[in-house]
Amino acid sequence: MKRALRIVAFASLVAGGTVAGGWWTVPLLAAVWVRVLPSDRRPVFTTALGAALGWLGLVAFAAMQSPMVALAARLSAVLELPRWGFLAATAVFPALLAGTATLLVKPASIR
Amino acid sequence: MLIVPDSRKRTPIARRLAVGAVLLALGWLGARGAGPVPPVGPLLDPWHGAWGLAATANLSPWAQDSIPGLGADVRVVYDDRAVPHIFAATELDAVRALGYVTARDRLFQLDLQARAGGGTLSELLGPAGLDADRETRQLGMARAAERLARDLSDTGGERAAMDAYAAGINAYIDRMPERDLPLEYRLLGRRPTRWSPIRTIQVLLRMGYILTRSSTELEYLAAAAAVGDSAAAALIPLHSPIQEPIQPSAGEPRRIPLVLPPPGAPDTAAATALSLMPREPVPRDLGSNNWAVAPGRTRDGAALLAGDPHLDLTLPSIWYEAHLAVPGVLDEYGVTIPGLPAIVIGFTRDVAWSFTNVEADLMDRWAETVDDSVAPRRYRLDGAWVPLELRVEIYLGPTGDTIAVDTLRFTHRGPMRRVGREWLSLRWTTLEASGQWQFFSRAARARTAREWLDLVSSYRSPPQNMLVADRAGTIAIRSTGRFPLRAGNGRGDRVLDGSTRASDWIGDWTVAEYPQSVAPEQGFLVSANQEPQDPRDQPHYLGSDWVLPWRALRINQLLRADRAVTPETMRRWQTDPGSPRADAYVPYLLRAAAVRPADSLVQRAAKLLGAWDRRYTLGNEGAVLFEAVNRSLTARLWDELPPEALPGSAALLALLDDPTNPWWDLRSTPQRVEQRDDVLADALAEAYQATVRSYGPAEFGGWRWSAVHRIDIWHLLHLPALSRLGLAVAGGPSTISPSSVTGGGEGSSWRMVVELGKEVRAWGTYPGGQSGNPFSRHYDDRLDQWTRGELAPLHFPRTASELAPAAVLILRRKS
Repeated sequence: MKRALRIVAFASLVAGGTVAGGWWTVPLLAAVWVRVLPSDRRPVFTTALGAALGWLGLVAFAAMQSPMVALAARLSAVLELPRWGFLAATAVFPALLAGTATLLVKPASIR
Repeated sequence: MLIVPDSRKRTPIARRLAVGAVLLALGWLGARGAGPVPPVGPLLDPWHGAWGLAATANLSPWAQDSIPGLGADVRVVYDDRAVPHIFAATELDAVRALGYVTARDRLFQLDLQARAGGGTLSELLGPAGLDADRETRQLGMARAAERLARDLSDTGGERAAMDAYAAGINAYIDRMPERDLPLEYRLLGRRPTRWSPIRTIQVLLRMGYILTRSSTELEYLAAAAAVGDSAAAALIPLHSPIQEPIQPSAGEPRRIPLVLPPPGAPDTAAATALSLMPREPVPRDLGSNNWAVAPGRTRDGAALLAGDPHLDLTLPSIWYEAHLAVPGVLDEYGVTIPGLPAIVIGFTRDVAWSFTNVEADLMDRWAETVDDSVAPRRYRLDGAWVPLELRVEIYLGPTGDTIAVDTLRFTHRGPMRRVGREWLSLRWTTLEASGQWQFFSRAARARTAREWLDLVSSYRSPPQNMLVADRAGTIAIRSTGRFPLRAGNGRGDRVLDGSTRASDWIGDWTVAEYPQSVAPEQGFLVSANQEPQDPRDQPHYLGSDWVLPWRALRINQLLRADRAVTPETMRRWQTDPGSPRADAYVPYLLRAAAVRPADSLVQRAAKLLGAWDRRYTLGNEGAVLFEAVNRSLTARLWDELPPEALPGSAALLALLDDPTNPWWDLRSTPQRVEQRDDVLADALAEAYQATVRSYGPAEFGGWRWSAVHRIDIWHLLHLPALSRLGLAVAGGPSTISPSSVTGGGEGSSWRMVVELGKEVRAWGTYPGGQSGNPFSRHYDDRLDQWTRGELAPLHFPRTASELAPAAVLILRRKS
């Protein structure tokens, strides 16, 4: 439960940071997160999943106003990706950014 | 928390370095992209990135912004077709607002078109744009744009209008939310460039490039190199052998006999010269129509005008629809080209106008004598050496790096290019066209057709057949633009001697000499890129190798047969599938088949063609066979000529009446002398076989025109996912709405019908939609309507309150 809350909290942070500052805030927030909350035993998991959920949450929010399924399919086609490729990339990219940033700055004592 | 031994407290440096490298790579990929992968950060960002384009794809019901320099607030009301109706206090405010709304809908297109005209595509597209940039700059367009911008007149409002337009575009760019950045920029990892008047000039030059290049010199030399001068001259005749001119002449089409001398010995001088010619790709299938009907021939007693300019079809479309309303000054509706600060084709409360291209020869070449065959600095003129103007062109890539450098040379005539071991200079009216905006601004003030013609008489380039009709019932047309007068025999379709000023242009046609007609007795006027004047009326050389007037013949035929024309008839005619070309050729094919009664292939083909209604409708089967026959006939008949010298249909038409002409004899059968009917019958048989091979037996239904003939409308960056490919449309080569047989990308880019009654009523559409955002419903919402040949009623409200707004934009005066 605690982990889930942490993931949701980080996802919210990422969503807010992205809206306020842009995509590059994701690794920055991950780095800060791991320093501020050293008690998290699996920070890479938390930040990677949280970042993915944060971005997917923003997509879901936009989907309330616009036909995002059609948009996702067309963007995938433009980039010559599979139908859901663009959506998948939208989840994977922040996860990689957050995960590697966490891995880089976390103390070695934390797994 | 997991406690690890002290010795392992620190992650090994190598591992941290590796993780750091991965993070760096991800950051690089996010910010800069890699290879074909665009910068993925701003692309995937769900708030500011491409996802955001969906949220902003459609206009919000109410929005406001400001533009520096506005004299008063401007109200922009968008109708249900996403057309902005701009209500402003002054003309300059309307132009500012036009710049703003055009940028809002078509920002990437604006940038791309200006770059295409200025030779800076590679700064946006990288090396992929370099060839086009080199071509543009070597033709002198970049230099001309700089000169024309420098010479912009401060009087007459020309500079003020261009500045106002730029202010509107820049106001949008400067305050555009990140999430509104067009998808194309995200894919390229670029940002839009701010606008300035020179970019409007570059767009105008680009239109000149599209509409006024000519390759007659090349075709003539290629033909002469193969079959000698005399035959070549006949293959590319000075005048169209069928005369149905824009300026009404005989009342009915007139034939001018064209005799083709037999193929002669190759002309070695021409062969040498041919190797020197720049082989610029010149589109041959572009064409346009417009026609007007006086009240005496319309059902409701009001003048009617129809126009459909044919250009490259792209998404977004080349046209953008808008309505500019300034109380007491301006009230005009029509289409503009993004980048131009005015309506180009359209109507007011009093007049309506539309254009077709004149197809005149406006580009001549001179063979120059230079002091150094590799890096000349001087050229010979009237016995003296004259210094060349040298200009270094630097081509930059997307990151500002230099990707190529050219040194260009200019004579007093224009740009000089090295081809083989020789140097050719070029003079082109497009490069010398100034004062274009005055035309746009003046036209909309006219109250009558005659006044409109007077106001646009200073228009220079690209020359257009300008058709106008007014509410009083007057219809008029004039081929307007700059037409040069040549020295010597007056012709410009051969390479000229550059060593003397005596071969230079010696002046221009006067406006009184332009092909024109006002209120003609016949009660209608038609232009479809045909030779504008009958040679008997033509004061000077205007061009050669005119397209045969098949479209003009058909439109005239329809108009002569109808004395109660309605707007609906005009609309239907714009996509009429009838073909005078087929009417002319099919009887010869059937006669040829009759002399081979025992040949089953010939008879089957003849049976199909005999039953054919000679229309290019979607379900038509005869059209497929007829086009196959044409291809086979072309390959057989012109076997003496290289592909670049294949003549137009004028020569074929002449030969059909000359059954024993040696041109009919095939080189591949030296033991036999073929005549017309032999070749036609062989073409029928071969075409039938080829069509069966490609589409199966005729009775299986695979020969439908819609299955064979498709239109491709490509996105500006040729991205298939944003294009609409393989659209079935009626019409074919030489029909009123023409298109090439396979994968055509040109066609009717805007269709408009206007009725100038007590109240002006108009209908129109174009293939695409108002928005350049591929996720907007207005990106391609007119496409189905366009393929069906239908038009939408155009809203032309006098005040903003007359319109049910789909969205409103208030542009505030900046305090």
